[in-house]
Amino acid sequence: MIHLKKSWRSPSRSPAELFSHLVVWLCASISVVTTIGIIAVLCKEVFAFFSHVSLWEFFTGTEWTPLIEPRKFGIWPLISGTLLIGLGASIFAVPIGAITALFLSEYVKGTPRIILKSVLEVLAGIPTVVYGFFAVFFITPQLQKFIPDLDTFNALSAAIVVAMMIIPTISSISQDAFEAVPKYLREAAYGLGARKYQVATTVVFPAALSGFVASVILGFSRAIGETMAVTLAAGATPRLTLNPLQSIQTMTAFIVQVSLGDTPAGTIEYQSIFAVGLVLFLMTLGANLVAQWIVKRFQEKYR
Amino acid sequence: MPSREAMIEQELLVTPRILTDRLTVKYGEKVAVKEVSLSFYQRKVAALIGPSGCGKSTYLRSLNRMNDFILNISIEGKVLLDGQDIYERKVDPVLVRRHIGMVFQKPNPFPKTIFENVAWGPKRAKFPKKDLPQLVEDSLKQAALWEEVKDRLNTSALGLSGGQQQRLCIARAIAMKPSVLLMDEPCSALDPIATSRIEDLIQELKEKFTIIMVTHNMQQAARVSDVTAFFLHGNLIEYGATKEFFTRPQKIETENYLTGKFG
Repeated sequence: MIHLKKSWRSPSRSPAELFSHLVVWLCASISVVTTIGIIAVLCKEVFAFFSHVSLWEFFTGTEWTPLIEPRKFGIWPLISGTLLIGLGASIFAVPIGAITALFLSEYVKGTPRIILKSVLEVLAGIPTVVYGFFAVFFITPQLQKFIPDLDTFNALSAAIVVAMMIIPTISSISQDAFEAVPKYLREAAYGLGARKYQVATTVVFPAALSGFVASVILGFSRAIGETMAVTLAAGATPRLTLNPLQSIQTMTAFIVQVSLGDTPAGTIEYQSIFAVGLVLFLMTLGANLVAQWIVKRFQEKYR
Repeated sequence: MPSREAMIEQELLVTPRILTDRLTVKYGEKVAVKEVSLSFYQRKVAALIGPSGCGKSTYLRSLNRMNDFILNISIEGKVLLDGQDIYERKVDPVLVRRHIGMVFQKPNPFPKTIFENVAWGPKRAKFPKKDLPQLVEDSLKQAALWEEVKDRLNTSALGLSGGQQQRLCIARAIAMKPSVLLMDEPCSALDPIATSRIEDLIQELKEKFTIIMVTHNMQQAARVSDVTAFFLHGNLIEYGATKEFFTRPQKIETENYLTGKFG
């Protein structure tokens, strides 16, 4: 009789197989456990925070003064500051990133492409604190020549510098998506007598839309999560405004401010950074969900 | 006295629509096509046959400058379309491709609607928008696809069967009103029934276009083409009327290939 039964010597029950199964499982669960852990810690402190501050005040208040009396805990100034940086940076970075990616995938070949790609990667590798003082000591003074009312610390410089940081993210992920568009679609287009920009904009871009949207969301998430550069460049003035010429404060910058000070654990200031962190987390989560919806709705499926 | 149109027609049958004069194509140092001189006429289907790697596809793609995208390629000799060298420096390859359409090995419709697929090329060439529906209908009719898709022009082209997709690609190519149609093994990804529909279609289309097709299927060449060219190792071995070619090959290599001694 041929031996077909499962046993510890059979291939799918052998110790090596079981061991590798276990290792794969453990590694995969680390990120899940971490996520759950972070949410749990956030929620615990947030729960304590909301026993002192009402949800109503937190989500409708327009003043954020947790460190000075009278203390006010309205989150909106921080949200507006964060969005100002995130959306402002996206306005600069999305078109530039998309065009860069199309240029890299459709227009240049060989050595120039490799050189350009490595320059972009260098841009991605610069420490964020360097971007921060680049904004304070270079961009802001330059801008002040044209815009005399510009504050020393302002959202505009911060948004520009954050845009520079996320351009590599957007362009490199988009480029991968553009390059993954099958060659036969390009051939079909060129065979019909299309020009390069027509192929890039009406065949390659729509076919790679999902990858492009993913890159934008990733860039946006990075922009609103960006800490060091905006803490340096945008200042620490929580203010409900959409005026990019003034100093503002983002959620991340506030968290830095509190964490750097000697705020004892258990105080309301201390708990407030967890509440702010949770809101930031929900915002990035929301951005990702929106992105997934957009991708599902508008993607051209070529497979 | 024949009409002027009739005389032009007559002229086209004796003057090649497209010809190559000692065309050589190299990938770096490797010679893929060696000094091939061939002429193709109006209302004729030409089949290019030969074993894999013989240079027939490379040759075909040189006829509408689809090889331009390959790095390190070099092309010598001439390709004349109605007497004009398409490799002359002043020539815009994009315009060349508008006059010489191409159908590929694997059906490659765009991931767009059926209508958008056919209208895509003409739109890019600034064809008047209001005439597009008529052009799409005419092209689909010529490609023998209209009856099957007329009620779902606004659904995705990827919902069609393989054979329908290939006919859509043919409709898309002829919507540009080219004078020459290049087909690179257009049936190799299709089943026998879809293949025979495409072959019938080629017979109808040759009334309007000069058709040059690459095929690895000798029976197909015999069924569909008027003239056949046999390629081997980048050389043109033999070229002649299909009937003669298959019944009385002149060269020993051709005979060996036709009788299946290699290939």
